Amino acid sequence: MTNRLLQGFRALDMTDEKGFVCGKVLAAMGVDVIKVERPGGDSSRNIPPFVDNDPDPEKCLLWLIYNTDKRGITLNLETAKGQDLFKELVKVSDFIIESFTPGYLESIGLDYDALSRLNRRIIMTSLTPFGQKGPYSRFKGGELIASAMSGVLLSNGYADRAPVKEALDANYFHANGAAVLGSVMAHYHREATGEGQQVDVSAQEVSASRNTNNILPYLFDKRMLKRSGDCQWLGLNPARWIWECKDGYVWHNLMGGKVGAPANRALSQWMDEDGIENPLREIKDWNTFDRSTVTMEEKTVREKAIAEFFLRHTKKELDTEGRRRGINAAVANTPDEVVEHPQLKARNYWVELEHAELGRSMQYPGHFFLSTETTTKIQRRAPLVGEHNKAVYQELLGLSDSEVEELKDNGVI
Amino acid sequence: MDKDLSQSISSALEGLKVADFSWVGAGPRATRDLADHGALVVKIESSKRIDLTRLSPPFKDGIMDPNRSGFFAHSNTSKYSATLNLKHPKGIELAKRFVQWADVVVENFGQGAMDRMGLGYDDLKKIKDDIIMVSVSITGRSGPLADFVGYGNSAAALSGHAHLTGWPDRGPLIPPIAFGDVITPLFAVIAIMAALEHKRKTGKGQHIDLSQFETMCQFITPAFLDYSANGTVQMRMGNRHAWASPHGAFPCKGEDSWCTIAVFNEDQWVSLCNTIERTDLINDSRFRTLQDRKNNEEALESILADWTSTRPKEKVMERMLDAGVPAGAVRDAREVMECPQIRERELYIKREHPVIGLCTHPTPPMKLSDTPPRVRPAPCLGEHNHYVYTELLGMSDEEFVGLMNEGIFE
Repeated sequence: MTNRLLQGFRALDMTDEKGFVCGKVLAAMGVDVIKVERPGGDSSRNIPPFVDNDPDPEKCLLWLIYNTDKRGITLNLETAKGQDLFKELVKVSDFIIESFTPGYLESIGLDYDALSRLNRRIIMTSLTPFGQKGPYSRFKGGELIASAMSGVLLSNGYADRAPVKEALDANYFHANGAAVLGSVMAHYHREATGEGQQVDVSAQEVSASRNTNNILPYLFDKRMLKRSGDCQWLGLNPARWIWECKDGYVWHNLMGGKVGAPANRALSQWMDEDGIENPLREIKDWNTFDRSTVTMEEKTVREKAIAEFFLRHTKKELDTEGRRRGINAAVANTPDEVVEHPQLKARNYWVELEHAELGRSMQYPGHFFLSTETTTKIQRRAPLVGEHNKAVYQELLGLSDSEVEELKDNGVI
Repeated sequence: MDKDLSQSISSALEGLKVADFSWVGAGPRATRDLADHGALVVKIESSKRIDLTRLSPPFKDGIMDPNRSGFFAHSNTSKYSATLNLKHPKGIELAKRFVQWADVVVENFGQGAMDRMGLGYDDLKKIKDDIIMVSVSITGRSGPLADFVGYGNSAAALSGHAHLTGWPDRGPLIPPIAFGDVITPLFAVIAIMAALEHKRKTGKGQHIDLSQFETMCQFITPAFLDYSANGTVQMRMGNRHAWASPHGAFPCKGEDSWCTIAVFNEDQWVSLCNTIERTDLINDSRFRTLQDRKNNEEALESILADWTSTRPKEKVMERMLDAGVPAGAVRDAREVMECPQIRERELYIKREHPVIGLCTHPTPPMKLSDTPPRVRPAPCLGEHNHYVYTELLGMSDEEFVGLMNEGIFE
């Protein structure tokens, strides 16, 4: 295998579906991540959708997507023998990632204090809905709950409907990113001092840390911003930023000052060339255009004209010609359009992974970032149930064939 | 009151030196995480090309001033500020001295800007062979869209984040807090930490290239694979979720008052029915399995809304959580600041800012048990010029004053 940034380190991944991404990112950087499943397979393997819409635990898309590059073992942590085996693994590992309800690991003798006595270099990262301590720490949560309890949810949606969540598992992806970051910062410290530590990540806090746009007006001006649909608050009034075009939608905003001037001028010129009503023409000096002082009347007149402009053009025109002119619009791509996007193709973003068992290959996003020194692309499909039991228990822990068989018979692995 | 425990507790990133040429959104959030954890981050900025965040509202007492922006204060904690006019004839030469000093250089200029200034990765490598350079942009530093001028929200549109957010009968939405401006900085710092480990082992530096478009696409992967495996083009679906039902924000007593409830398995479903005293629903053929509940979701949501709408949101949340059903009141900014969980864990702390005064700041949301963050207020423009140029870059006082008189520190 080619050289990877974090090659030579090992992580034990005990997370459920809320914490898969953390180990995926570490694995993509070269950490040997061992996903620990209960015998028979993790319950998250039953989550739809499935490949070919066939509800088979080896065809669960979520599992396949977020466990790439990991090795997989089965282990029953609720048996004494299983706990012993886990402790042996901890001695030869560098990270533990877990997402159990706080208190659970202590109840089976596998909490940080116990494990750090076996390996003082170990870093244990916990990702839970509300963190390890505090009055809510044992409450159940999830993506939507994190969004609600952090104030992020209230800011998204139309005033005439309920606040609305954002795409997929956005807030938990964010929380996973924070868990990776905590882990690698603790790693940096460990390599300097030889000491591991505990990393405690609360999904609620991670989402709240993002809520700058709402926290600040409250802190500074005791002002609460109302959700305003396809508009964004920029000053006196919400300014429209999602526009319907001929065959879909685009994002566009008139940006202020010198930074926004070239794009605003370009849009105004294109509107003129289209021969439509153009109130933007009245703005003589875009360099001094200040978004925060636009009145409701000005806004209404300008937005009506801009709306008409966008409806005249297709996504393709707004993308290619729009970029040539520099009008500061971005097409709201659908997933099939993203897959075909020339920019991602040019940067070799997609990686085709072989799934011999399924008789097919599938295309995944390949990297989180690019490095001039090493590959950062994913390389291996997610593990099958217990796929690496032999490699891990025999090669890593030195168990014999018969010992492994016995563990299987006793339901430990 | 400063809550730093004691000077004997070290910071995670002590000794790490970062020259930060980034501005506005994504770059400064990344270097803030480094600074809060003890890295020495020098923000290199100029009154000739002022960081737009310094001009972003809200301002202390409503007075627009580069040192009074709340946005800047929250995005730049724990950093040092040195002013440097890169357009000054000697500006680039001085910038190179920062490169010589630093372990890591961070930038998010437009495509090619660093190269034109003679500060591209190849130039930096000549100055310092093992330098780690990090570039954060919307579309990445190569490919046909490398020169794309955009913002965090452009990345939300490009990646499919916008398309998948909102109601199916209305257009796409973008949350006001640009997701790309938040997650890309996280991955920038992850990349920096990994690159430092690689340097420790091999002695080599490198250039890291982050595209917001690409980081955003990572979390859209389920939709891409559903398309490539099944040909399904996923669509936004309000508050509903592929593998949970009910899953939404339900109206509660009071104006614009909501509580989220998310039922992911059969145990939670039974608990929910018990809690709203509708055990008849458990065996109702419309709701028996997840698939049944998905098929009759509207009816189910309306039954649940009947129960929630007569109760305050905090009460609904409490009842659900006590029964083991994932639930959360939809909170506004004030309620988040006053949340007992957020308070006990001290996500927000107060720090005395030289101009703003006592100001509430966020702390990093990843809590490291032995190396807690040490958050200091964001710097005023050029606040640390003397320290940075004399102590860190090793200038004599004479040289410093000479250059100052030439206007290089504007």
